[in-house]
Amino acid sequence: MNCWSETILRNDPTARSHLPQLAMLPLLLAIPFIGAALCAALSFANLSRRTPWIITMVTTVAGLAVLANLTGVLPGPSDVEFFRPWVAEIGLNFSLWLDGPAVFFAWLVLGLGALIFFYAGFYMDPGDSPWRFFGTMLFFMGSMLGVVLSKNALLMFVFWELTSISSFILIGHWHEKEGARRGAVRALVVTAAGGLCLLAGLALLLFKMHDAGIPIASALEWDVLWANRAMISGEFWVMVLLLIGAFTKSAQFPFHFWLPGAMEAPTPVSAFLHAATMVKAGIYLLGRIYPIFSSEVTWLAIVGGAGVLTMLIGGFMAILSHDLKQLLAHSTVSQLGLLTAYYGFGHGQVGTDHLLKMDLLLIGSHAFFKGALFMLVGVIDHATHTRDWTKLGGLIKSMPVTGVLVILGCASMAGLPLTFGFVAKELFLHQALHLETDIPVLKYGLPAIAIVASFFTAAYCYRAAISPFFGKPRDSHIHAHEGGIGLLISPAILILLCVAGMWVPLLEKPFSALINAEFYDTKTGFHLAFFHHVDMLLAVAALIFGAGLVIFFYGRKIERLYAGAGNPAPFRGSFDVGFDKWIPAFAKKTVHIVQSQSLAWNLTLALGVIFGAVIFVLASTDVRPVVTLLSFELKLMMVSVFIMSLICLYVVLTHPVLLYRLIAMSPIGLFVSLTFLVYKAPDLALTQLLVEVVTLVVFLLLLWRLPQRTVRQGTPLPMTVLRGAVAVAVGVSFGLLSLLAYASPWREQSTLPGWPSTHEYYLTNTKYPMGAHSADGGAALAAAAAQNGYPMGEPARSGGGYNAVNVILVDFRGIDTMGEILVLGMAGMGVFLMMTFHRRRPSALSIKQSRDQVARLQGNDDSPILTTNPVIKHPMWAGPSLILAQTTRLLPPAMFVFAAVLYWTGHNEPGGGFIAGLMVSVGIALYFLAFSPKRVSELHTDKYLSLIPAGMAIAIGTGLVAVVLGHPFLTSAFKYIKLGPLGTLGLASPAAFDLGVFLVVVGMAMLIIEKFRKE
Amino acid sequence: MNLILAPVILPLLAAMLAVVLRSNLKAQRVISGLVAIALPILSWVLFDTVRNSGVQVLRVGDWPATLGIVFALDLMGSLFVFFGAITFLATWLFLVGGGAGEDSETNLLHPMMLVLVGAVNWAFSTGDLFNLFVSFEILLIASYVLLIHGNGAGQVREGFKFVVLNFTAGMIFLATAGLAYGLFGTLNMAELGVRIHLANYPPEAVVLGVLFFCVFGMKAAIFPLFAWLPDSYPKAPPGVLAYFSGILTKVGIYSLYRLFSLCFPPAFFGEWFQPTLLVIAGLTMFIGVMGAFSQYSFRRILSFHIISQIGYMIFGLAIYTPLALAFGIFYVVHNMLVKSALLLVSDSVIVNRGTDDLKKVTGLIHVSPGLALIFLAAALSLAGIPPLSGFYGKFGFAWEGFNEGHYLTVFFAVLTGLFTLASMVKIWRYSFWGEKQEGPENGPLSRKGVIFAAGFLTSAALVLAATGGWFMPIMKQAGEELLDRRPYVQAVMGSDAAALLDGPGWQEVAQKP
Repeated sequence: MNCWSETILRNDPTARSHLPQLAMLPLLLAIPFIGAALCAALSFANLSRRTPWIITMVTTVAGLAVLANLTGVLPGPSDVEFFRPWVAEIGLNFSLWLDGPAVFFAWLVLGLGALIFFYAGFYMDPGDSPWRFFGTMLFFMGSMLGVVLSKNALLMFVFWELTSISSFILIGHWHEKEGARRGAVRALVVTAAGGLCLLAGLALLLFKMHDAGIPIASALEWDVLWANRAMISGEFWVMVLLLIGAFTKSAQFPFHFWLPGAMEAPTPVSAFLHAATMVKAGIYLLGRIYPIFSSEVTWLAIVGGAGVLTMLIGGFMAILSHDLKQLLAHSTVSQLGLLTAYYGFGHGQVGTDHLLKMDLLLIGSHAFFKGALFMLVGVIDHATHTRDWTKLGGLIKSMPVTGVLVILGCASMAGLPLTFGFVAKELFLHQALHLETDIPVLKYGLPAIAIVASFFTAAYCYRAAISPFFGKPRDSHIHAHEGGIGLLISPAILILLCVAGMWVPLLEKPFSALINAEFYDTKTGFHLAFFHHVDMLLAVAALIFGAGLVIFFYGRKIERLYAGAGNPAPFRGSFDVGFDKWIPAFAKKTVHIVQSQSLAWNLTLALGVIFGAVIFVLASTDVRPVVTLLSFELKLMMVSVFIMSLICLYVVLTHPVLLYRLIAMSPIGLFVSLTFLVYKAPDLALTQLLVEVVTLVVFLLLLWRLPQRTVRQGTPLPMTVLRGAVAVAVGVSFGLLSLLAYASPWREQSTLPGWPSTHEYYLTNTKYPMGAHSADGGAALAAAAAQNGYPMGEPARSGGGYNAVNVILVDFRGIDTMGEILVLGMAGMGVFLMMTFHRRRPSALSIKQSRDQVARLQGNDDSPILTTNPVIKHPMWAGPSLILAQTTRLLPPAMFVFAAVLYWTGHNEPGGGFIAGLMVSVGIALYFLAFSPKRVSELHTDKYLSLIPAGMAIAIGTGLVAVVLGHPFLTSAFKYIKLGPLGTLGLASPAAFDLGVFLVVVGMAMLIIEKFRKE
Repeated sequence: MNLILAPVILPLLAAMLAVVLRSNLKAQRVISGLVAIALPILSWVLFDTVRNSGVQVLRVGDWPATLGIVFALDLMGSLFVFFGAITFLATWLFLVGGGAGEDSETNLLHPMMLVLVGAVNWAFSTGDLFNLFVSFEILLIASYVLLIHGNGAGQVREGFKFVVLNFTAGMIFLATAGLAYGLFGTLNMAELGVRIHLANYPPEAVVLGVLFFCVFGMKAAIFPLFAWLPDSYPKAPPGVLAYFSGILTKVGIYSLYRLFSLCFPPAFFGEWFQPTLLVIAGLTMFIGVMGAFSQYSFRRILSFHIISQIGYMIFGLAIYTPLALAFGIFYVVHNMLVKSALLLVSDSVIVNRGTDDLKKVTGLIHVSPGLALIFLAAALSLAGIPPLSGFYGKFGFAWEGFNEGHYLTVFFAVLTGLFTLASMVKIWRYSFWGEKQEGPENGPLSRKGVIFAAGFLTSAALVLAATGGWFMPIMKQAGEELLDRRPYVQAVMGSDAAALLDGPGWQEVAQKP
């Protein structure tokens, strides 16, 4: 311990004065990320290919220096903590600490990192995307540090996922190879699935903690979780979800299959991520949640069971592997199983003096020899260009150093005496034979499987140590040479750590220091020694070594037997098939139901769902439409409209000629127009009528270009019935709803005492209800307002016109109209653009697109409604009608004048800018229908285009004038100007707005008509 | 001066100016750019105002509240306006930076975009139902015109489906707004809420709510009403698509959040409502992501993802707690940024390679490493990988879902997260990894515009993630205000009216002697 690691607790009020120390912990975490960012940024500069390696080494050493500063060189836990709330609402804090396991793992990550990065500098081809490689490695190192330094479980999860991502990138480093891509995706999907379970588990945990009354902000801190473990230890699903997270990460059965596939990565990646550190994250998580859940017997069953099964499967697969790297990968799976089982076996031991506290020793031992062995296999691969032990042999002569190192590493892996691994193995066996349970299946079954699995462990260790190095070379083409010093230093250091069993007593002190005293009785600790006395443990160990030897000799035979049994990798295989075939196929089928290519089906579905829901809701209430409220005249009108609609419908459904069907539809619009008239809205009736006319004209022009007759598609009868039913449902729903609205008892209620209903207000504020004229309505208005106490501000203001509809349109709801004319204008421009595209030379992009499109079109497209018959011209289009032509000479000018009148009087009488605009448009349209195109060709389309923005600008500008004068947008003003004998002229700002409306309507109508004419 | 209409009026006026100057591309770019830069600043100012002094209201035409048209901007609305503006800025950068390829900015593209932006802001700030309909119409027509912009063979065909289905939704919206007026005598949202309360939540209001849910649901592309989206979006021109997918469906979500807090609190619908919503949310997520997973086209995958992400937002509404709505708002905002960033990358692929078929475009990491990095960050954010911005929403939904006991929907949310990641990885695996494609037509994608625009959005998402702790309380407040209703009603109609929400309905009053 040195001066930097003084106690700095976050509760300590003096902590603020120790800013440098406080910053050390986040700095430690930040260093690798800074290095990674540097690599990303500098990759665009033209620097030496060695630079990223140098950056990496410097970064790692810097990290080690900071860590040493914090924990001392002989590591012990530190009280330094860093705390900063991040998103308190979900219990996420940026809180770091350096308790025992954190210190241990931090040293492991940085120390092994330094060795493996050094090795990587010699192993990797400098031209092989070094920036990406080392940058991602550093990113991973930072993420891994984050996992182990986090005091907050959710923060750990944040970094946890980042390790998955960096692992994905690194496995796919040689992504030109299909195997690498596949392995990377498989690894990511499995670990991410586990990550999502972990996320769900943490969410559930947060919920349970919150339920137990723990404040959310600190609920997910490890120490808080441990302190409250009594409350959550029984939460089975929390445990299962967290365990799935741990198991996927640490490649436990049944998620073990991704790890061997991950060996497509470059060797340093395999050594660092998939042997030494990342796959230990799951083990680390087990250690963190061990105090919480291990008192449950389900813990023993699940964790212990998964562990021993993984040991067995991994060991067995390792025996079958020819590729030395695959062998090591499977052995890693098996060893991870051992570590998992070790935690599982710790069931019921919290607070006792059991051996579980030596978990870190096991983890360290595995990290050392496995990291070293991976690197050494990399050396063999470099030297011989193969990793297949069936081709290698007698390498001990050409590669003596490597050979000795591998043999020693395997000895440690097998747990031969005098190695680190021996101590670890003994700890494990001791645990396995002393389970705290009375359930026989667990008490005897788990150790039995563990011991059988250990036979395989011993066997594959022999295999890796003996087969490549002794005997005769099996492939004469291999010319091996010893690896360079740069490649051998790192593994040599690690192997030295492994085999020096004499170290072990020395290790006791630091490892004891790392133990979390809260969970272990440290007074009567287990004393580490490199060799105990002869007892049952030793006997079991001897049995294992013997049985392993037998399996080693019969290895090829087992292989042949297994090969006969069929699928070599059932888990991996079914995952691949599932993910590549079954799920996409299932997805396609499911989606196709909703997402059909047919517009008719989509429309039917949407309307069916919507109005099905409406009818369902209507039927499930006791609300019934009241028909009796309707007056006799209204009923009569409805019946007659209904009958006429039926007639029209008959024509529409049966007539083969499009034109007649179209005309048969137009009465509907006329009915609507009539209804408006009945309800005393002549403006609306007029507008509707004009819109009908314009629409019909446009349709007629369109029909000119379309085939006159349609051929019935072979729609199946059920579909026709369904569509009919949906159409009826839509109509009936709205019919019923209108009746409901008609009878609504709430419409006329006032919200607050004295508030008018909206329509009452509109009518009053247009001076008088429609039809009643008065030269000066202002006084009456004020009187009415005063009488009713309407909240209309002082002094009472009116819309300045008699025509309620117009005043609503341009004043009360002026901004609606502004929007609607914008829609009109945009529609006009849209048509203009479509026609322009139609004629324009297709761009390069669209040619490329259309190539694909054509292919698709030719394939299957069941949507065309119209057949592509050659155009049959109807006799009606034979030529311009003489009568029409003569009339048109006179009619349009009259219409223009009438439009002007409509516009001007609009505020008080039926009319207004919209109607005037439509009138002008109809006039022009008439010209066009009546005369041959030449007559109007002086008109230029593009000029009309500008009418739209001009009109819009006037409308918006009118509103902005009010803003400039200090009123809200679109506030109106009006004034009467006395013109002597000519009477009084009312000038209202809405008139300017209305001018904008007029211009947009004319512009848009002209654009469309002109465009069609040109076609 | 009350500026809440400025984000609406400014783009519209600029659009009109740009139409007039349509022959001068440079002028159009400048006009559009000025708006693109001004809007984020303006909307941040507005957001700040709303944060400090509550809901801002503008009575258009100075007519009394509820009798004229009211614009009201609350925390949720102002956040959406701000992040929408950020997205537009990125789109503009992409377009003028040449990301969409030559010849792409002609033919009124800029004015149409500006109108679209104005309409989006309009929808986010109006307080009147019919006015909302008007903004939807502008949105629809502008997006339709933009969708068929260009000359792609499928554009007109798919655009037709798009416009017909959307127009149908618009018709139903219009009719429903009319119904609302017929039943309750008002179009003002705040007043409608008050009056439905005063009428004691009659069955007619339930029908109204169902209709509105369907209409906005269709706009938001929920299951099973999303048919208009996945085929038409991939046909949209480059750049424009990014803005579409970032913003358009969110307008539907906004309207759902607004109306179903203000006027139709789910509680009065009856027992069936929440389960139905949960099922819809789950299916929207799951079917959407399944659709994505089965595709082999960059843009189609992303288009289907829009749907699955809408499911999460509906989930937030279905849970209906302040925190769930807060996560929903966070998710919407995050989605605007990330989704647009991803689509900008996909746009760039299709512009440069002429196809976005994953099996035909490979090894992009060799030619465009920077863009690959941007894509990866955005894709992982979309998949909800921490500490990127998508994580908060996902964790929040899981947590709040557990809190409220919606285990099954949480399960679907988690499963959807997995497939989201899987389909993002699919894009990465096929198009970014793999052999480098040789040949002059397979050059780098990284025109400056793409890097700037997509990088800008991705870093905005990163900033959002890093400042999550700052935004979260604000969004929580937004959620609380939504559920409380009174702040909004009070701002629009005064405190007397807001007090009515606690009082008895008309019937009870009438029954009193």
